[in-house]
Amino acid sequence: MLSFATARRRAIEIADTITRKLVESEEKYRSIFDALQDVYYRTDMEGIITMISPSIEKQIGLPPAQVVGKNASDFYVDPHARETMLEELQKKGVLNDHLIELRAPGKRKHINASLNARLLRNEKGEPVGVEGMLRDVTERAVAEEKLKDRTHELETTKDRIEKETHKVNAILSSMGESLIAVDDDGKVVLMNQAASVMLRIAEGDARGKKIETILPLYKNKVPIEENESPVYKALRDKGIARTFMHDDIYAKDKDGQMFPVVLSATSLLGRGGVEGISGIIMFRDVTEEKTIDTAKTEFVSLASHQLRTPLTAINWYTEMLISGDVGKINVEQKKYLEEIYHGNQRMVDLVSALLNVSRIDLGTFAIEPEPTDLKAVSESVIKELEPMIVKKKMQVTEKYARGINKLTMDPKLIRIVFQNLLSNSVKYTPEGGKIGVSVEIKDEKVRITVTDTGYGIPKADQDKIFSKLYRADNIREKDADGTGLGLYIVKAIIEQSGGAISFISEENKGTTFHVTFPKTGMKAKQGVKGLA
Amino acid sequence: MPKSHTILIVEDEPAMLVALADTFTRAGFTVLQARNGEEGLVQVEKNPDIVLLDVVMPKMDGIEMLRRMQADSFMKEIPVIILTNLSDNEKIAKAIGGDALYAILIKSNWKLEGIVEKVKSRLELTK
Repeated sequence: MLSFATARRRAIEIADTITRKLVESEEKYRSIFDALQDVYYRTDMEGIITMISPSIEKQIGLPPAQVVGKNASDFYVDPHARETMLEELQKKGVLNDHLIELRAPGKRKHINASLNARLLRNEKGEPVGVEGMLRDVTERAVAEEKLKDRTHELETTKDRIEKETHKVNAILSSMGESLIAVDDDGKVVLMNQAASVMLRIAEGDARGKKIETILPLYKNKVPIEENESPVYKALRDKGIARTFMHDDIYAKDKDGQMFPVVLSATSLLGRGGVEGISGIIMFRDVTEEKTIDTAKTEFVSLASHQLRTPLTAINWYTEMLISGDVGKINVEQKKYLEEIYHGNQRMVDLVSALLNVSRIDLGTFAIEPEPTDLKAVSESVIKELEPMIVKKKMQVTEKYARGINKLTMDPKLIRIVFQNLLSNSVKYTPEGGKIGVSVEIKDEKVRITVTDTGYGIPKADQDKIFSKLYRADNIREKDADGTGLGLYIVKAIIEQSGGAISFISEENKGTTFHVTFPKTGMKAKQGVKGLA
Repeated sequence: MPKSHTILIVEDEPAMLVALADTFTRAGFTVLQARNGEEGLVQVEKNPDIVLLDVVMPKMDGIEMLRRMQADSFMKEIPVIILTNLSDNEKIAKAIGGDALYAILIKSNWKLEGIVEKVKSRLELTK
């Protein structure tokens, strides 16, 4: 039997062991507790913090001693958030990954934390407090926030793209102009509704086919060859090719029906490019415009003809009066009659020019080359202008190469060219100025040059001087007589007969026009009417 | 005084007919007048030295009258100057062929004085 003393000693030993084990265990537990990255805490039901791990200091900058005893609500950024948390906790008993924002009281810097918590209960099962683990998820929250923003951005972009696509589709399908997009090989990639209706082919059937089989183009009923086609021209040159109503380009639909079109082909390669699409062809049916235009031009033609008869009668009667054959007239009467004659002659010139323009526009004028002496043509035009040349005390230099007496030219048309260029020079060169005309043969080309020391063409007007009815600013005030049609007619004659015209000009220094034709002369052109 | 030439003027426009007739009369011509091709064919029977012929006329136009003259062995020897305000000369050119007897003048391009000169030189040619 153990003596009391032994028993006591044993008891003390056991107690020591227990205590030691307890201390060991507590130390172990404490070291874990201290080493926690996450924050462990406990509160009572009032929210007073009864225990918190040291890691709290790292999170909100306060040591546990300054936290314990405080109400947990003080650490919430949103004071109501704790109530929400408690309600949920009471409902569910536990909380997992509940997100809250915490900060030290009175401090601005806050952290985002994920909270896992459970209710603590006594033996009777009544809630006595809360135990929880907090994990700093600020970085995660920032990343999530970023992700959210990015997602939102993507959604907005997607939305915008969808809207844009919708818009573009709506425009494409509702526009009156036909549009076809082609790839590098000229194969159809896309075709809008108008094109589909006009060419009588469904987009699905057209896709992947070569553009020339979907939109065959003709000029004068002859198919346009690939190297002449404005579509391939645009693709090849990485630029824009346009056709105009007077180019007389026709398209043929799937049923073989031909109709006049104007089109523009634009290469996208020259402008940064769009994947899969190399060119855009826009075109429209101009049947109606052509009919109206033809009617208009025919009207001008008819009206000009009708006007000529009375104008000629006025000229002739004025001429008879001026001649004095029907009675003597005094000096003043003669002066007035000459004014009438001059004014009327201007009208005749204008009507003739309008008639010529209408024939050019109708494409009905003929070019009939025959052996022509250019020197004779030039000289006769200068002779015609002599009164004005003498009056303005001008000096004319003429230079003609040999071998220009039998050039294949339409004598009437080349005369119109000389007439317009030389009379412009005379009209638009001040008194005492110089005019030069030369015809030479060089590099298998006939080169006609008309030069003057006149008013010149202002830079701003230079690209417009061949336009119909255009007159440069600086000469409008100097000469009210011009029609603005001369150079338009000249250019049409030269270009339609296979020649070219260019000029260089400087204001108040002078102008030089160069006209060139192949040595073989003018190209013949069938037509019903000549130019007047 | 040399024998005066006879000219037949065929023109439907009265103002022009009078102007031409007066001018040629003053220039010493004997003038015959007609207002269309039909009347012209009647007048041409009177054997004018030259014909001034308008193109667009009612009843019978100048081209038709010219064709009929060309079909007549006697009339086809008469020189004709076609006076027109049309400049679509192809039809006319076809009608006259390359015949030196014929010429075309665009009315509005010519003064009366010039037309008289042209007629006179044409008559010189066929003398």
